[in-house]
Amino acid sequence: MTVTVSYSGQVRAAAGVSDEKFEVPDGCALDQAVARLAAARGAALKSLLLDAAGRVQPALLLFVNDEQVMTGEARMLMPGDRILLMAPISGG
Amino acid sequence: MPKAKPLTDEERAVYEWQLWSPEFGEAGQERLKGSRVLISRVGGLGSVVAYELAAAGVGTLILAHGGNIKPSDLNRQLLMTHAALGTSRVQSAERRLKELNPRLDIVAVPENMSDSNAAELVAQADLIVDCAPLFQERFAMNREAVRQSKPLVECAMYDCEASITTILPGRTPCLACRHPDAPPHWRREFPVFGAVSGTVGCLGAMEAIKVLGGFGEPLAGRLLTMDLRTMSFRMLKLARNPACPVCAT
Repeated sequence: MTVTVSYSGQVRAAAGVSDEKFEVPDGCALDQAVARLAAARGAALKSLLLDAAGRVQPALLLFVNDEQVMTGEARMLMPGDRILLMAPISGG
Repeated sequence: MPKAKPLTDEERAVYEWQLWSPEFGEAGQERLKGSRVLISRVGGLGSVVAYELAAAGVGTLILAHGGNIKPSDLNRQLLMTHAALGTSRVQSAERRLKELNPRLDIVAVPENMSDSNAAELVAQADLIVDCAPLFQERFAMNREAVRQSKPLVECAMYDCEASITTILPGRTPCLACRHPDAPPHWRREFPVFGAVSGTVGCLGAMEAIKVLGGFGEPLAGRLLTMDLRTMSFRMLKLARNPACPVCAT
Protein backbone atom coordinates (compact mmCIF):
# COMPACT_ATOMS: atom_id res chain seq x y z
CA MET A 1 0.00 0.00 0.00
CA THR A 2 1.03 3.59 -0.50
CA VAL A 3 1.38 6.17 2.25
CA THR A 4 2.56 9.77 2.10
CA VAL A 5 5.52 10.76 4.23
CA SER A 6 6.29 14.39 5.07
CA TYR A 7 9.47 15.60 6.73
CA SER A 8 9.96 18.61 8.98
CA GLY A 9 12.96 20.32 10.53
CA GLN A 10 16.33 18.59 10.41
CA VAL A 11 14.83 15.40 8.97
CA ARG A 12 13.62 17.35 5.97
CA ALA A 13 17.12 18.58 5.25
CA ALA A 14 18.42 15.02 5.59
CA ALA A 15 15.65 13.56 3.41
CA GLY A 16 16.20 16.16 0.71
CA VAL A 17 12.46 16.41 0.03
CA SER A 18 9.54 17.79 1.99
CA ASP A 19 7.26 14.85 1.20
CA GLU A 20 7.09 11.69 -0.87
CA LYS A 21 4.97 8.63 -1.58
CA PHE A 22 6.28 5.47 0.03
CA GLU A 23 5.31 1.83 -0.44
CA VAL A 24 4.87 -0.35 2.64
CA PRO A 25 3.42 -3.86 3.02
CA ASP A 26 -0.21 -4.24 3.99
CA GLY A 27 -0.53 -4.40 7.76
CA CYS A 28 2.64 -2.39 8.26
CA ALA A 29 2.98 -0.60 11.59
CA LEU A 30 4.25 2.97 11.91
CA ASP A 31 7.54 2.02 13.55
CA GLN A 32 8.13 -0.56 10.80
CA ALA A 33 7.50 2.07 8.14
CA VAL A 34 10.02 4.40 9.80
CA ALA A 35 12.59 1.58 9.86
CA ARG A 36 11.95 0.88 6.17
CA LEU A 37 12.44 4.56 5.35
CA ALA A 38 15.68 4.60 7.29
CA ALA A 39 16.91 1.55 5.38
CA ALA A 40 15.87 2.98 2.02
CA ARG A 41 17.44 6.43 2.44
CA GLY A 42 20.90 7.72 3.32
CA ALA A 43 22.81 7.45 6.57
CA ALA A 44 22.08 11.08 7.48
CA LEU A 45 18.35 10.44 7.58
CA LYS A 46 18.78 7.07 9.27
CA SER A 47 20.66 8.62 12.18
CA LEU A 48 17.78 11.02 12.80
CA LEU A 49 15.07 8.36 12.52
CA LEU A 50 16.58 5.51 14.50
CA ASP A 51 18.63 5.25 17.68
CA ALA A 52 21.74 3.12 18.06
CA ALA A 53 19.61 0.07 18.83
CA GLY A 54 17.62 0.46 15.63
CA ARG A 55 14.45 1.64 17.36
CA VAL A 56 12.58 4.79 16.38
CA GLN A 57 14.52 7.75 17.75
CA PRO A 58 12.66 8.80 20.95
CA ALA A 59 13.15 12.48 20.15
CA LEU A 60 11.37 12.15 16.79
CA LEU A 61 7.79 13.45 16.70
CA LEU A 62 5.41 11.17 14.81
CA PHE A 63 2.03 12.09 13.38
CA VAL A 64 -0.46 10.07 11.36
CA ASN A 65 -3.22 12.01 9.66
CA ASP A 66 -2.29 15.07 11.75
CA GLU A 67 -2.61 13.27 15.10
CA GLN A 68 0.42 12.56 17.24
CA VAL A 69 1.45 8.98 17.83
CA MET A 70 3.73 8.48 20.81
CA THR A 71 7.05 6.76 20.13
CA GLY A 72 6.66 3.11 21.02
CA GLU A 73 2.90 3.16 20.56
CA ALA A 74 1.59 0.40 18.26
CA ARG A 75 -0.09 2.07 15.31
CA MET A 76 -1.12 0.11 12.22
CA LEU A 77 -1.09 2.04 8.95
CA MET A 78 -3.86 2.17 6.38
CA PRO A 79 -3.62 2.89 2.65
CA GLY A 80 -3.41 6.63 2.02
CA ASP A 81 -2.29 7.50 5.55
CA ARG A 82 -0.32 10.72 5.85
CA ILE A 83 2.75 10.34 8.04
CA LEU A 84 4.66 13.35 9.35
CA LEU A 85 8.14 12.90 10.80
CA MET A 86 9.21 16.00 12.70
CA ALA A 87 12.56 16.66 14.28
CA PRO A 88 12.38 18.75 17.46
CA ILE A 89 12.95 22.48 16.99
CA SER A 90 13.38 25.34 19.40
CA GLY A 91 13.55 29.10 19.70
CA GLY A 92 16.46 31.48 19.46
CA MET B 1 -5.55 35.02 35.97
CA PRO B 2 -4.22 38.58 36.19
CA LYS B 3 -5.97 41.23 38.24
CA ALA B 4 -7.59 43.87 36.00
CA LYS B 5 -6.37 47.46 36.30
CA PRO B 6 -8.54 50.41 35.23
CA LEU B 7 -7.49 52.37 32.15
CA THR B 8 -6.60 56.03 31.99
CA ASP B 9 -8.02 58.27 29.26
CA GLU B 10 -4.60 58.29 27.59
CA GLU B 11 -4.61 54.49 27.49
CA ARG B 12 -8.11 54.42 26.01
CA ALA B 13 -6.81 56.66 23.22
CA VAL B 14 -3.68 54.56 22.59
CA TYR B 15 -5.53 51.22 22.51
CA GLU B 16 -8.67 52.52 20.80
CA TRP B 17 -8.42 50.28 17.73
CA GLN B 18 -8.07 47.04 19.70
CA LEU B 19 -10.74 48.10 22.20
CA TRP B 20 -13.10 47.81 19.23
CA SER B 21 -12.34 44.09 18.96
CA PRO B 22 -15.43 42.01 19.85
CA GLU B 23 -15.08 39.88 23.01
CA PHE B 24 -12.05 41.93 24.10
CA GLY B 25 -13.09 45.53 24.77
CA GLU B 26 -12.15 47.55 27.84
CA ALA B 27 -12.43 44.57 30.18
CA GLY B 28 -9.83 42.67 28.12
CA GLN B 29 -7.55 45.69 27.98
CA GLU B 30 -7.77 46.09 31.76
CA ARG B 31 -6.70 42.45 32.13
CA LEU B 32 -3.71 43.05 29.84
CA LYS B 33 -2.75 46.10 31.88
CA GLY B 34 -2.78 43.99 35.04
CA SER B 35 -0.78 41.18 33.43
CA ARG B 36 2.81 40.16 33.99
CA VAL B 37 4.41 38.16 31.17
CA LEU B 38 7.76 36.38 31.38
CA ILE B 39 9.64 36.08 28.09
CA SER B 40 12.51 33.65 28.13
CA ARG B 41 15.11 35.26 25.85
CA VAL B 42 14.44 38.30 23.73
CA GLY B 43 16.23 37.02 20.64
CA GLY B 44 14.67 36.50 17.22
CA LEU B 45 11.41 35.20 18.65
CA GLY B 46 11.30 36.96 21.99
CA SER B 47 12.10 40.40 20.58
CA VAL B 48 8.98 40.31 18.48
CA VAL B 49 6.84 38.77 21.23
CA ALA B 50 7.96 41.53 23.61
CA TYR B 51 7.43 44.29 21.05
CA GLU B 52 3.89 43.17 20.24
CA LEU B 53 2.96 42.71 23.91
CA ALA B 54 4.40 46.12 24.75
CA ALA B 55 2.37 47.67 21.95
CA ALA B 56 -0.76 45.82 23.07
CA GLY B 57 -0.53 47.23 26.59
CA VAL B 58 0.58 44.31 28.76
CA GLY B 59 1.43 45.93 32.10
CA THR B 60 4.69 44.20 33.00
CA LEU B 61 7.24 42.30 30.93
CA ILE B 62 9.87 40.19 32.66
CA LEU B 63 12.71 39.69 30.18
CA ALA B 64 15.26 36.97 30.89
CA HIS B 65 18.25 36.90 28.56
CA GLY B 66 21.95 36.79 29.30
CA GLY B 67 24.87 38.06 27.28
CA ASN B 68 25.75 40.96 25.02
CA ILE B 69 24.70 41.79 21.48
CA LYS B 70 26.72 40.13 18.68
CA PRO B 71 26.69 40.96 14.95
CA SER B 72 25.02 37.61 14.20
CA ASP B 73 22.04 38.62 16.38
CA LEU B 74 21.07 41.49 14.12
CA ASN B 75 19.32 39.59 11.30
CA ARG B 76 16.43 38.70 13.62
CA GLN B 77 16.74 40.18 17.13
CA LEU B 78 14.77 43.31 16.37
CA LEU B 79 15.21 44.94 19.78
CA MET B 80 19.00 44.97 19.27
CA THR B 81 20.79 47.67 17.27
CA HIS B 82 24.14 48.17 15.57
CA ALA B 83 24.86 51.06 17.92
CA ALA B 84 24.42 48.75 20.91
CA LEU B 85 26.77 45.98 19.72
CA GLY B 86 28.73 44.59 22.65
CA THR B 87 26.27 45.83 25.27
CA SER B 88 23.66 43.96 27.30
CA ARG B 89 20.80 42.42 25.34
CA VAL B 90 18.16 43.00 27.99
CA GLN B 91 19.21 46.62 28.43
CA SER B 92 18.87 47.23 24.70
CA ALA B 93 15.49 45.47 24.74
CA GLU B 94 14.31 47.55 27.69
CA ARG B 95 15.34 50.79 26.00
CA ARG B 96 13.60 49.96 22.72
CA LEU B 97 10.42 48.78 24.43
CA LYS B 98 10.23 51.91 26.58
CA GLU B 99 10.46 54.02 23.41
CA LEU B 100 7.41 52.20 22.11
CA ASN B 101 5.43 52.19 25.36
CA PRO B 102 6.69 54.38 28.22
CA ARG B 103 3.89 53.09 30.48
CA LEU B 104 5.37 49.58 30.40
CA ASP B 105 7.00 48.15 33.53
CA ILE B 106 10.02 46.02 32.69
CA VAL B 107 11.93 43.62 34.88
CA ALA B 108 15.21 43.08 33.02
CA VAL B 109 16.97 39.88 34.11
CA PRO B 110 20.45 39.60 32.52
CA GLU B 111 20.52 35.80 32.67
CA ASN B 112 18.93 32.89 30.86
CA MET B 113 16.35 30.59 32.39
CA SER B 114 17.88 27.71 34.34
CA ASP B 115 17.11 25.20 37.04
CA SER B 116 18.34 27.68 39.61
CA ASN B 117 16.15 30.66 38.67
CA ALA B 118 13.09 29.15 36.93
CA ALA B 119 10.90 28.85 40.04
CA GLU B 120 11.46 32.46 41.04
CA LEU B 121 10.99 33.88 37.54
CA VAL B 122 7.86 31.88 36.78
CA ALA B 123 6.38 32.88 40.17
CA GLN B 124 6.50 36.52 39.08
CA ALA B 125 4.43 35.96 35.93
CA ASP B 126 0.83 35.28 34.93
CA LEU B 127 1.97 33.71 31.65
CA ILE B 128 5.29 32.62 30.13
CA VAL B 129 6.41 32.73 26.52
CA ASP B 130 9.16 30.24 25.71
CA CYS B 131 11.52 31.64 23.08
CA ALA B 132 14.65 29.83 24.26
CA PRO B 133 16.93 27.73 22.04
CA LEU B 134 18.23 25.19 24.55
CA PHE B 135 16.09 22.32 25.73
CA GLN B 136 17.47 22.43 29.28
CA GLU B 137 16.16 25.99 29.62
CA ARG B 138 12.83 24.95 28.17
CA PHE B 139 12.55 21.95 30.46
CA ALA B 140 13.15 24.14 33.54
CA MET B 141 10.51 26.59 32.33
CA ASN B 142 7.99 23.86 31.51
CA ARG B 143 8.48 22.10 34.83
CA GLU B 144 7.82 25.30 36.78
CA ALA B 145 4.93 26.38 34.56
CA VAL B 146 3.23 23.05 35.21
CA ARG B 147 4.04 23.06 38.93
CA GLN B 148 2.76 26.63 39.36
CA SER B 149 -0.11 26.14 36.90
CA LYS B 150 0.90 29.02 34.61
CA PRO B 151 0.06 29.06 30.88
CA LEU B 152 3.11 28.59 28.66
CA VAL B 153 3.23 29.62 25.00
CA GLU B 154 5.83 27.56 23.14
CA CYS B 155 7.41 29.04 19.99
CA ALA B 156 10.02 27.30 17.84
CA MET B 157 11.64 27.64 14.43
CA TYR B 158 14.14 26.10 12.05
CA ASP B 159 15.12 27.41 8.63
CA CYS B 160 11.82 28.47 6.99
CA GLU B 161 9.70 26.34 9.33
CA ALA B 162 8.12 27.25 12.65
CA SER B 163 5.69 25.85 15.17
CA ILE B 164 3.66 27.08 18.11
CA THR B 165 1.44 25.61 20.81
CA THR B 166 0.00 26.79 24.12
CA ILE B 167 0.37 24.65 27.20
CA LEU B 168 -2.41 25.02 29.75
CA PRO B 169 -1.29 22.96 32.77
CA GLY B 170 -3.81 20.31 33.76
CA ARG B 171 -5.63 20.59 30.42
CA THR B 172 -3.07 19.98 27.68
CA PRO B 173 0.08 17.97 27.03
CA CYS B 174 3.21 19.72 28.31
CA LEU B 175 6.62 20.08 26.69
CA ALA B 176 7.92 16.97 28.47
CA CYS B 177 5.08 14.91 26.97
CA ARG B 178 6.64 15.61 23.57
CA HIS B 179 10.27 15.67 24.66
CA PRO B 180 11.07 13.64 27.78
CA ASP B 181 14.78 14.16 27.10
CA ALA B 182 16.92 16.66 25.23
CA PRO B 183 17.01 15.71 21.53
CA PRO B 184 20.51 14.46 20.72
CA HIS B 185 20.68 16.11 17.30
CA TRP B 186 19.56 19.64 18.25
CA ARG B 187 22.19 22.32 17.84
CA ARG B 188 22.21 25.76 19.48
CA GLU B 189 22.86 27.53 16.15
CA PHE B 190 20.74 26.80 13.11
CA PRO B 191 19.54 28.40 9.86
CA VAL B 192 16.74 30.95 10.16
CA PHE B 193 15.49 34.21 8.72
CA GLY B 194 14.31 37.10 10.87
CA ALA B 195 11.02 37.07 8.99
CA VAL B 196 10.44 33.49 10.19
CA SER B 197 11.14 34.26 13.84
CA GLY B 198 9.07 37.42 13.48
CA THR B 199 6.11 35.51 12.07
CA VAL B 200 5.96 32.98 14.88
CA GLY B 201 6.78 35.71 17.40
CA CYS B 202 3.65 37.63 16.36
CA LEU B 203 1.63 34.44 16.68
CA GLY B 204 3.07 33.84 20.14
CA ALA B 205 2.13 37.34 21.21
CA MET B 206 -1.40 36.80 19.94
CA GLU B 207 -1.69 33.58 21.93
CA ALA B 208 -0.63 35.47 25.07
CA ILE B 209 -3.10 38.28 24.38
CA LYS B 210 -5.94 35.77 23.96
CA VAL B 211 -5.16 33.79 27.10
CA LEU B 212 -4.68 36.91 29.23
CA GLY B 213 -7.54 38.81 27.64
CA GLY B 214 -9.90 35.85 28.06
CA PHE B 215 -11.12 35.54 24.49
CA GLY B 216 -10.62 33.43 21.36
CA GLU B 217 -9.33 29.86 21.17
CA PRO B 218 -5.70 29.31 22.10
CA LEU B 219 -3.68 26.48 20.58
CA ALA B 220 -4.45 24.20 23.52
CA GLY B 221 -3.36 20.66 22.70
CA ARG B 222 -2.72 21.69 19.12
CA LEU B 223 0.56 22.34 17.35
CA LEU B 224 0.37 24.83 14.51
CA THR B 225 3.23 24.24 12.09
CA MET B 226 4.16 26.35 9.12
CA ASP B 227 6.56 26.11 6.23
CA LEU B 228 7.09 29.63 4.98
CA ARG B 229 9.05 28.33 2.00
CA THR B 230 5.75 27.13 0.54
CA MET B 231 3.36 29.06 2.83
CA SER B 232 1.90 25.75 4.03
CA PHE B 233 0.18 25.69 7.40
CA ARG B 234 -0.86 22.55 9.27
CA MET B 235 -2.75 22.00 12.53
CA LEU B 236 -1.65 18.91 14.45
CA LYS B 237 -3.27 17.29 17.45
CA LEU B 238 -0.84 16.63 20.31
CA ALA B 239 -1.01 13.61 22.58
CA ARG B 240 -0.62 13.60 26.31
CA ASN B 241 1.95 11.16 27.62
CA PRO B 242 0.33 9.21 30.47
CA ALA B 243 3.81 8.51 31.79
CA CYS B 244 5.03 12.10 31.49
CA PRO B 245 7.56 12.79 34.25
CA VAL B 246 6.28 16.37 34.62
CA CYS B 247 2.52 16.53 34.14
CA ALA B 248 1.19 12.99 34.58
CA THR B 249 -0.81 12.72 37.78
